[in-house]
Amino acid sequence: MVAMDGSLGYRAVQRPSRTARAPEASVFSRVPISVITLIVAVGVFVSSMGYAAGRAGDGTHSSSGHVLYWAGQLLILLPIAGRLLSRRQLSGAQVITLITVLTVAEYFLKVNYEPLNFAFNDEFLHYRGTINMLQSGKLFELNYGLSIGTHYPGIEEVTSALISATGLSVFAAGLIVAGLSHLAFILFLYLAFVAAIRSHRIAGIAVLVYSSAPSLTSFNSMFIYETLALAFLGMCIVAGLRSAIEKSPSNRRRWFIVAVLAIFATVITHHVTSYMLTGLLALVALASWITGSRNTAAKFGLLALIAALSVAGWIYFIAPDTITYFSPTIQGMASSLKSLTNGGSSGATSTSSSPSSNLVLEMAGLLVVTVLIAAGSWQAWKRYRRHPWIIGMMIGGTLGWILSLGIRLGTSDGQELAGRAATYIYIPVSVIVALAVTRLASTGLMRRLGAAATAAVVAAIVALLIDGLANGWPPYWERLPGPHQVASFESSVDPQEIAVSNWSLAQLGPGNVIGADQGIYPVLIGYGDQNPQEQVTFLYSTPTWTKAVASQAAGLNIQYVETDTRLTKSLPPAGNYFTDQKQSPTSPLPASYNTKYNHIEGVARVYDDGTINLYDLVSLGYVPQPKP
Amino acid sequence: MYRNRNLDIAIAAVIAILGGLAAAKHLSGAVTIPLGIGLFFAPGYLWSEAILNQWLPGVERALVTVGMAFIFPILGGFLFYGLHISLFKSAWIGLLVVLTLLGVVAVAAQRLREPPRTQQPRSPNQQPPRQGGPVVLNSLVFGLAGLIAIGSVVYSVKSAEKEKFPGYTALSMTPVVDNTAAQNTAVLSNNPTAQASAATEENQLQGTATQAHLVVTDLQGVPEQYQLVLRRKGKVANTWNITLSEGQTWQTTIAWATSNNSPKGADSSMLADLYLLPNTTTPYRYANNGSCISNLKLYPAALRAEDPCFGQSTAVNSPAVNSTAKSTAK
Repeated sequence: MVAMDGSLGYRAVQRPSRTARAPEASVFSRVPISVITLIVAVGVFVSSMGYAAGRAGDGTHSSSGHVLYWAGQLLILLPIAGRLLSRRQLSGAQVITLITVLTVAEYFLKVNYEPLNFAFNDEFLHYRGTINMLQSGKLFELNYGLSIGTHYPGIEEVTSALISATGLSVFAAGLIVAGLSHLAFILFLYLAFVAAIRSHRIAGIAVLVYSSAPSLTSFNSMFIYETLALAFLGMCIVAGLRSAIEKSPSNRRRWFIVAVLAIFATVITHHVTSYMLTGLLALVALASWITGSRNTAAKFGLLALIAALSVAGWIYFIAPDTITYFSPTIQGMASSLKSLTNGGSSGATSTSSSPSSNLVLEMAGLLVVTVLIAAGSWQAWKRYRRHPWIIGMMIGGTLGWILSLGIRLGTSDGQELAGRAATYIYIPVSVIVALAVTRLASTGLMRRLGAAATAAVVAAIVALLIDGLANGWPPYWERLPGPHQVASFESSVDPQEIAVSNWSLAQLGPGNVIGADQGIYPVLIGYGDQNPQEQVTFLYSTPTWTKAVASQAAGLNIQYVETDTRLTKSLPPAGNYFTDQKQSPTSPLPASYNTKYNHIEGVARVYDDGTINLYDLVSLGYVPQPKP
Repeated sequence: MYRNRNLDIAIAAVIAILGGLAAAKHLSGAVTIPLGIGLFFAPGYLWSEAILNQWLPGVERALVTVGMAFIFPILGGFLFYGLHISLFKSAWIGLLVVLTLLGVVAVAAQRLREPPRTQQPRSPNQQPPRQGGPVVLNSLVFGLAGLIAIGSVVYSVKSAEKEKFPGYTALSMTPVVDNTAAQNTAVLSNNPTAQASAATEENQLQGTATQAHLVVTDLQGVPEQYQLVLRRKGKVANTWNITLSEGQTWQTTIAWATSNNSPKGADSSMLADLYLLPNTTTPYRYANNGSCISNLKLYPAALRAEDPCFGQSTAVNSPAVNSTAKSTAK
């Protein structure tokens, strides 16, 4: 039976485990939740002032902006962490309020980073997908930026329905869908944790720890398909748990229906999340079987089977491209890991150019989490050996963490892959870490140290959260919005890029194959409905238009080439000018590599705004065309 | 409590019907947005009640409602796809209204069958610890926090709107291609053969276009005066004096000449120069059609560098390529 506060079973509530007992008071322990919410709101405002300072000044170089941003973050994180980690008793409602406030506060900051338009690259792709669906009335429409995404149209469907009902813009509807999905995911996660741990407090701490996942406040709250699918993942886990533990067979059946609906929605919405959901269901089934909970094992086994069949059916009938989409990534990872386990070099190159303080924070965070996982696993085995969820979390968390470390250290692009994988791996990891933290805070030594010990624990958890923010997205070189930076994701999206993209759709029509730099690339897809290519470095690597370049351009059917004079003046903070550029440039692009397009017979200069030019390679047939 | 236990169904039904009407009649946003949001979430609420008829805490009920409200368009859209029903606005509204009404019936039938459920008793151990201060004061503080958070969004919007960007003016000259098939790319996009055919056709049409759009857009932040000079074969064919305010666009349609639609060997060069007045000496922006002028001296010295063949004796030569690039999926 589920209690009102979301915890499972009166017995668990009446006899909280030792780890769930309230430890010593912290500074925030007597502060009412409403006041903590007020402090957090002030923190959101202060961080937003940091953004404004960036916009008004030097962007990421604005020192006052950085001070304001991080001061605001401390105002958000410290009171919530302090209250959740304090030893004063908290009700389920209070914990829910705290994690809701944290999630909403960070989402507000995500919105305030760019409050006028979508700015994050992946959001442009789903913006275009939604526009296509609204205009064509069809599913699975062509999307030049995310061909695989066309087979997973869940978020476009939800947003189209909301726009049709309300008349809102894609941007406004997208913010609502993404924000609600993100909050629903976190709260479902909390309910699942409560079911697993049988303690609001530890579940709240687990959610707090989960909030340190590097992509949580960025990729998992953007208007992208993963954000919505995660909400369904959370819903399915909670419904699955309820379908296993409810006393009434009728209620068990009803929750089972909800779990199955959530599985279908996940499968239609996002590939990786549907695989992770299948794995998670199978893991709980396995853990239930190991711990002797045969009914639960059967229930979760059935859900895992339904999920696996749905995934396989979807790939077979609707999205066969999924296999070719993931093959290179999986092969690359496998070969890197194989080289690593054979004692050789993985060939992984460090893609990180973060400041040393970020790297130190990251390494310290990895070390702390690793130690806490070990301690938490020991706690789980010692105290919850017969508990299928916790044993499942222990197995999944430990193996997932080891795999994540292997990917991070052993594969090229490991940092990014591990960051994205953290969304899923941190689910069990955060539970195990929360067990360890709570146990640590309850030891005799910590009790004797009193408030100082609690303060140290709060500081450590806040440091983990700051690590997640500092090493998450946006990266340090665009932490604050501000002046344009070349070929560098959000900081390359200015009104000028948007205007060129809108112009391209209006004057050139959709679907043109364009060679463009990395900065304008997603905007051309999103607003322009164009088909910019990834293999374009060759177009910008010679001072003259040679036969080799012409032949390669013709082979890729390049129709237009975009040039940007700013590329000749500064280096890209993101590392590369073009998506396929192998070596990071050490000097700006030579001007002649851009201006050569002015002097090729048959190449029309069709657009000129003083910074960005567009050249048409096809209006005279193709370039170079045969001489008469 | 029993007397009003079906009030929620009635409210959901009324909101759904009004929301559907408001969206269908294109009423103002002040009416459509709140009712539309109600229409969007009504099926989720009703079906969560119908499927999970047990008592649930508020947070769980709200979460399941949101989850179900998101699930229905996904599964419903897929069902419509299977039934070959286009997912335009009317289909989405119809889906939401029908699901709401069916939900009303389902919940009503459920409640008629079963006695009113009672709220689970609260265990003594579950009494939340007392918060300092009265409820009203806490509510005021929460309200103030909400205002500050919303204020941060308003502040950020204002800050982003005030952000300074370098001003610029855009000039473009593009052939006009009237190709319905290619413009309906989205409609054709599920048919690769049709896509390839439309792509080839459009590329061919682009090469033989006879008209072009000449467009000037002012984004300088202030009104500016321009002079636009169009030269054909080196001679001034048209001159336009244009005054544009911030964000304003000027556009005209002109005859488009290229080597493809001109007599063989004829000079088909076109050059558009935009001057930012009062400077009429140095072009501020320029665009051309890619055709070289027969004799560079036909251009004033200041414009010669704008010819595609300036500074080179011959163009690079290689076989033509049959392009089917347009609309080809990656």
